[in-house]
Amino acid sequence: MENAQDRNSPRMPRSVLARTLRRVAIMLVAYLAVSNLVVWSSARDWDRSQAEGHEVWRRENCMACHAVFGLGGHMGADLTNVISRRGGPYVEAVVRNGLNKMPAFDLSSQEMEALIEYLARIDALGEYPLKGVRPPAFGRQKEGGLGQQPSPAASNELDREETN
Amino acid sequence: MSGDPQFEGRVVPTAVRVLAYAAVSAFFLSALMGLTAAIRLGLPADWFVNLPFQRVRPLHTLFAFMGMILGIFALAAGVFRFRDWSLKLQTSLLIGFTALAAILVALGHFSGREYIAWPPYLMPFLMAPLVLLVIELWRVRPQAAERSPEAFWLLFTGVGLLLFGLAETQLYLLPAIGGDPVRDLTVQWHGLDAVFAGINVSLYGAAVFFLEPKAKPLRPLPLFSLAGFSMLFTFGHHHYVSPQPSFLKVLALIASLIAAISFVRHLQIYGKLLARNSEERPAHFFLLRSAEWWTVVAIGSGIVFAIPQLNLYIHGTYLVVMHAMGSMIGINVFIILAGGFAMVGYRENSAANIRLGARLVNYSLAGLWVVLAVPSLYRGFLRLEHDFPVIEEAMRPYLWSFPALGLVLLVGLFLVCFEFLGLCFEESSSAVSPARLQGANLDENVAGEGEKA
Repeated sequence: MENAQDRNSPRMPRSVLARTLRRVAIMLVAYLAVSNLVVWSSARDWDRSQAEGHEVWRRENCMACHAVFGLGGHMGADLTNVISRRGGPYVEAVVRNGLNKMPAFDLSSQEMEALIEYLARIDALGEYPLKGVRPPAFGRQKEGGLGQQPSPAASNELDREETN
Repeated sequence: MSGDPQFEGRVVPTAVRVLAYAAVSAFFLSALMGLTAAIRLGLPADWFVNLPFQRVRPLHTLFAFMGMILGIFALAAGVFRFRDWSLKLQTSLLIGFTALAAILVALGHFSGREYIAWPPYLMPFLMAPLVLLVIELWRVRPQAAERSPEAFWLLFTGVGLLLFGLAETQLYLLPAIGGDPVRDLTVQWHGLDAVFAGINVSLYGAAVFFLEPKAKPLRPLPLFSLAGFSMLFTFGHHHYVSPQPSFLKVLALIASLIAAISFVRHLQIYGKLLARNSEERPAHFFLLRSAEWWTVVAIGSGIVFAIPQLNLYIHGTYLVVMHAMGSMIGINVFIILAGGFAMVGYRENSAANIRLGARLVNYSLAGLWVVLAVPSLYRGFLRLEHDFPVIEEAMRPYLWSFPALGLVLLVGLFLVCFEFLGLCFEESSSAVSPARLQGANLDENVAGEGEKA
């Protein structure tokens, strides 16, 4: 093993090396094929104007504390449906002033608008956490769309929180 | 000092020792950052209020990630004789990357992505040593495949997956992917799954080289096909509830359930390791047996969590955090440390500390599993009706266990790491008996041979 002259050792049948390398190649080629499948099958719609909101989300590392569809940090709330459940003004107030363990962020009006637009786009894609009795195991597509008003229940909770 | 007989009389290159030292240091720093984050999470808001969680979390994941990457390089370079210039270049690039990424993240320059936390312009500094490792593995392929065909395909495939997966996680930089949230989420998690599969597979492959004296033949073709399918398609179970294509969710479920075969196999191996005679066991055997136990837990919990009806309640809870922590600490860190001890050796009088440290890590991980299971399921049910403030309030009494048990884990890890770091630059001398080497076997067949002997 440690001697370069042993590289072509006659002890090992060439077929073992060939079979080993074939398995490596099969796995890596299969991986690339599945990657292509993932890239092309998951396309929904894309819009360059959303890039700015995504950029703000990434630059401030919101994901460290917040999640989307349950993926991300658990320190803060999952923000998948924050726009429909709480509304854009609520998001802006919390980001500007901070809340509990969340610090305040100094975003420009344009950045704030882009961030809210990005979250509204996420909101329109589906629901998380799923509400109700026995929700569908593979998720639920949202019937509503962008710019929904927060539900009365969410507004009541917001009022309670602000009072506290 | 004791070590592994296969390294008897062999001088472990300084660069390999530096890599091992850096890997263990990275794990310790990661544990320190993890404890800091746990304190921030588990204690009231006015404690550590100035501690920016948005920097602590990426630092924690960065150090854990780099600990594993450095460990793969250390073990691979410990087994094979790489060219000196290449090994030194790999070492310099990896350590330079880790330091630079940590500084940038601490200064607030992030990628803003899960796990791959550093700015994207640093990626070439991480990819370059991986390319060098692929070249070096290609150079030694005849000897490597002769010594253990199964271990070599695992190691080589793992490094390849790691390289491809890292590239895939950067596809969000393309507007057509980063600008489409569904596509971004699906591609990102496919890439991350490949990265972590690559780490696990290459570490396991390297461990087989290190710790099994007999060549491990390639597994039968049907098992290889099932393992490959499982490795390629499990990624979809990370977000069943997202709008990713439905067929990917179904494939993920099938691939996850196939892991039951692996679960049964690892359970059998663990049973055989438990039956080993205590007199045959070197200190690093304890680490390996623990790694085997946490492999059983990780695969078992992964299968349970992948059942969609249960995933609804478990996804996004601390149980998933524990699944990841158990896998990374209990399996990967223990394998790297065991390989490190096998390579550089250890003093007979330090074996007790190694065992005590490993026990503390085991107990704290087990404790975290137990005390977080109930609140996690509670959280899963609560969120069907309530929003975050209500859930956060309900969870508060349970979260103290994070920093408390995290502290025990840190002490345990410190004990093992301290022993290792102290020995890293001492020369390994006397060897242990072959019987002791057999005690360290991971493979069921070889373990069986040992029992017969």
